[in-house]
Amino acid sequence: MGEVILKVENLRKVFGDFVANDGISFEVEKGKIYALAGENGAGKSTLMKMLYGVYKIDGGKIYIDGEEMTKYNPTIAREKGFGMVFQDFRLIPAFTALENVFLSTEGTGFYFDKKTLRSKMIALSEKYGLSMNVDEYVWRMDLGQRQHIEILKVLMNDNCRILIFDEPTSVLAPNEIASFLELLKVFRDNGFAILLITHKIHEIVEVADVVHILRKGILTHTFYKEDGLVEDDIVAEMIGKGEDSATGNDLMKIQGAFTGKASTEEFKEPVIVGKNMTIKDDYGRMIIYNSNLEVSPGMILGVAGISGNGQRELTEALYGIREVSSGTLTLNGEDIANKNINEHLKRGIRILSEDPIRDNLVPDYTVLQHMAISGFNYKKKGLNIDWHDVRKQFDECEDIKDLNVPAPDRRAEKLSGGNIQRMAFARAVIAHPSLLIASYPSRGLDIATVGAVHDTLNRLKKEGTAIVFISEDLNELFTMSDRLVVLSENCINGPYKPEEFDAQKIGEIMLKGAKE
Amino acid sequence: MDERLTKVRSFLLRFLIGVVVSFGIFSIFLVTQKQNPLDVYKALVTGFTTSKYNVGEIWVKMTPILIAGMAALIPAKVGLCNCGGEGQLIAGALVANITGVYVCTDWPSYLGIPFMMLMAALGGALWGAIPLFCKMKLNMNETLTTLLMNYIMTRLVAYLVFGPIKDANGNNYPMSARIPEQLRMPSFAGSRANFTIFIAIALAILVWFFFNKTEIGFKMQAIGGNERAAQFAGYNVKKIQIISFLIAAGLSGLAGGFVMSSVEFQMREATASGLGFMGFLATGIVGDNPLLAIPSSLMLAALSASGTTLELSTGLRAAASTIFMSIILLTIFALGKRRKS
Amino acid sequence: MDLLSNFLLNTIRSGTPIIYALIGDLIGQRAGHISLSVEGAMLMGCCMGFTTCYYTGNLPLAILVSMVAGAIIGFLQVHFNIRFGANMFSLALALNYFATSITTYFGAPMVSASIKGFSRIAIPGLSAIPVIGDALFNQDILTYFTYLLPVIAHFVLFKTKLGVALRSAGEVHQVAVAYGYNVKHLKYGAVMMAGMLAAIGGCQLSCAYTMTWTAEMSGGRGFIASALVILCSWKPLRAYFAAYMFGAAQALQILFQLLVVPIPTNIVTMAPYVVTIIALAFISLNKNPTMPEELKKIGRPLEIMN
Repeated sequence: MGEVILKVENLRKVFGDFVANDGISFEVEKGKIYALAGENGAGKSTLMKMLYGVYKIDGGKIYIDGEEMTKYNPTIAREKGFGMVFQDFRLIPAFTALENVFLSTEGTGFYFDKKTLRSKMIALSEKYGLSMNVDEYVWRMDLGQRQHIEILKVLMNDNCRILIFDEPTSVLAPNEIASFLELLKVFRDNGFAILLITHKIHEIVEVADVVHILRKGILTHTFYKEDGLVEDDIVAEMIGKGEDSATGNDLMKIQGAFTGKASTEEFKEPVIVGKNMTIKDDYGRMIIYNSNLEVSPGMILGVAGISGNGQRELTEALYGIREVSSGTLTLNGEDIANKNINEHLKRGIRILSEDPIRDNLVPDYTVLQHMAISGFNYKKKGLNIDWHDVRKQFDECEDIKDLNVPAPDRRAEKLSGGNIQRMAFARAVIAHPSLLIASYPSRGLDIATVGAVHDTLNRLKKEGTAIVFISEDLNELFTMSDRLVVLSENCINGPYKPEEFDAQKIGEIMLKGAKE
Repeated sequence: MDERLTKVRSFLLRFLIGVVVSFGIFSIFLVTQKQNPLDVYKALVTGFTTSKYNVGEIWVKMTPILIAGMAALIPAKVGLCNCGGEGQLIAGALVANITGVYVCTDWPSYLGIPFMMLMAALGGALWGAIPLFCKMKLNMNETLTTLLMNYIMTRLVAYLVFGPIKDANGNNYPMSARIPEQLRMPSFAGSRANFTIFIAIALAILVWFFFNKTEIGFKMQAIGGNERAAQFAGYNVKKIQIISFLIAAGLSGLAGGFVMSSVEFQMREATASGLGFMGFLATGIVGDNPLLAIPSSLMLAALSASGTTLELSTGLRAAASTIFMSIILLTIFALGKRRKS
Repeated sequence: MDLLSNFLLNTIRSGTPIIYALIGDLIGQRAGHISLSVEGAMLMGCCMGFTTCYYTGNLPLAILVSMVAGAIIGFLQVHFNIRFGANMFSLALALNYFATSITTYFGAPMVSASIKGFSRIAIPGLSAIPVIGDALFNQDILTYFTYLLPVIAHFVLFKTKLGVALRSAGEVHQVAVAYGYNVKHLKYGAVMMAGMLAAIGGCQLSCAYTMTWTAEMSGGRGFIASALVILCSWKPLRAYFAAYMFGAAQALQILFQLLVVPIPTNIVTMAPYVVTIIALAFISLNKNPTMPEELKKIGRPLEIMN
């Protein structure tokens, strides 16, 4: 029986009328890994923020080392040995790892003692196997290494004994996930208590000693490792029996499982053909080298890959905003490489960029005005755009209603990320494109809208649109794609048919490239 | 539409408050200079209401300020910062003078004046083309290059009036020859103002119409809002930016031509100095709204013209009116939208 | 060799105000705020410093008064931007105009007056070195300080917590906030420091270099300093090169006069500005990854009230 560090009783948190957490009670012992599982919106994040002192509790008690915490905030939490590794890395790309850790540590005085800090960081990273070059600039590091810096920051606190991780594996590649899980075990064996917020069942089953299930803000069930952890049971508890069962997509998302599509779908002649394409990134490096790509009408081509492997460059080249340095790219036999964008727009090529704020957003313009920018075909009234016509098209458009696009008069700069995503996606699809390039279309959207997005894509598919679909979620890719390619090792690997959709295999290709 | 009306109304209100507060602050200054504020303001008002000439001076100043304001506003709408209106305007005046004195000396008015104005515009456009090239080809920050070009132009003028274009009959003063009579624009009776003020106002209205009521204006503002988004939309960003900037610089030059042909007639070191800069400020304080630039330029022109009136009636050095102007400018800034901290 | 020594002397003396304004604006830009108002701050320092010297002859007081004047300009620059949302470029130009109007008005009676300002202090031994001794080691105290200023700035920015925090504010604002740094305070401090330093530079210009005052004396040096910050890639130690490059262009004027070179003065006075633009061209060709991220986000130059 390990020593109890943290105990919570009946924790409650409300935001106005909304009850985010209620009646939460559990204990945390040294040397154990606790998983907090639940769907999006189940209250996991809120609970963590209460435990870390970011949110004030509206009811219940927190005991640390047996002592009730009447006053509690992140500073006290840190003193008591809590360390939180956030999902959004709080790092400055232009700084080195050393400088980033220095920025985050308290009480290091006026002078930046690089030597001492460096040796401490190296010692810690060696102890726990967190490989890194402490003097490297963060912008050169991949996401796995950046996470190591975040973990180091937390470990710099000598008091640290509880580690809280918020969705730590959402940005990692399959092998990085494996070494991360090993890392958790190392921490556990070194006496740390670990709280893991996640919805990934495989990982829970692999490392957790205790699994708390959160549903609608309440702790509904706890599973213990000694009793044996069964995936299906966990999933069932997360979704709940009977009332609001999730849709097929959600289930697959939660389960980390997939169902392959009918494998023998024949497609017509490819309409987009890229041969021996070489595409350079902003630094002149050949991020995609001598590769081929084919998309047929009515086909969804999924594009998998660790981020930073040329997704952005590929989509920009297809759209015409980036040069295809060598090779050919044709649409219906006509060369579209390196032509200007107007030609592409006329041919019905549309894009949902990976960063609509950077690439599509005109802050002062309203939603309606955005729709007139490469969205609707508008009529002109003299020298001016016929805004009545645009408004009419907007009001009558089905896609816009289905996707919950915000009101036409709202200013873009005031929209939330999710709303911007909706607007940008809607604009791309209303033009009934012949080729749609969709980068991470589900990002930032709630489950219902993700469903609408998937429905729209499927509908476009039936209408004959060729779709290039980029996502970081293998499950989503496996569900939606008719064919899949993998970007890795500067190559477009594939295409793979649905019968080849295996997380293990594709994961390996994402890391090492195809062996042929 | 309602939203825009309330915006304009709130702006005008803030503008008024700004002016009133500035009067207050300036009064404090006046007191320290042993002046009675009320006397000064009375002198200002009477100076302008009783003399047609003085009123005319306002239009004389307002014309180039308003046009230069457009020269700052148009590039801003497409995402460029043209701080070089000052130098471009002077370039226009210079070219107008040289054209008038050496090229069109014997031409009749109806040919000579338009030609001079055309040359002036080209002069301004050329001066603006240099920093534009630096920006487009070399990706150099145009705010700084246009600012630096202003200083180069003033020195160029100094060089020229001390040497190459010095008036042989000018008693060796550093100034150029005067443009011939027939190339000077006719003015209204009793003042130095002329019809160019109407051109300036019409221009501002045209610019407003252009940006708010045309497709190309819509596209241009999209470029200014997010250049990359405009690229994604297939707009020819570089071309539009280049044309806009050159037109703007040309307008500055044209304003300089107007100044040369309406009031200056000859080139000295200080000719037309400060007008381009004031135009920049005039549109800067109204958030690049062409219509609001009209009253804004009027105010700055009135204040600027008040310098001499002040000096004559109160003995206060002319520079005092510039202090008043800068107080007003800063006060208007202070009344801008409060940022949520 | 007398000419060369003289040339070097003037190069350094001309470069001094630039180093002050450059380091000042550099610190401000590292915090994420561009202060084109260093021009106005310099002018204020120039006039206020001269006025103090003229009426009291008290040199330390002159420096102090300059610093206060510069700090006020800096304060207005940052406060009006953060609190009132004023666009930093338009605001800077308005502040420069304010400085011009105030200094022209109050400085009018002193135009062409001369003072006994900061005299040059020779460092024994070192100042006897042929050619460079006089130029480097026989300067006024304000110039001596500029020998150290870039080094101090470098130390603070890269080797202290304050500096790292300030740079983080200029890189990723949210991260600095997340770690509990008061970004607002950092920006206020940095921009006021920019104004203060630029003003000291102005003080040197009127009280040590020329010992006179004329209207608009700063003549664009503040803008040049702002441009040179880019040339330095925001690294303080490069300020020596940038400032003395400008100083050399300025010193050329005097040299040409002495050599009776037949290039008209007015053309030669263009040199510093042209040189700055050319320098900017060179640096812009190299895609420098060292520009503070927050500066890249500054778009739309001409908006204040919207």
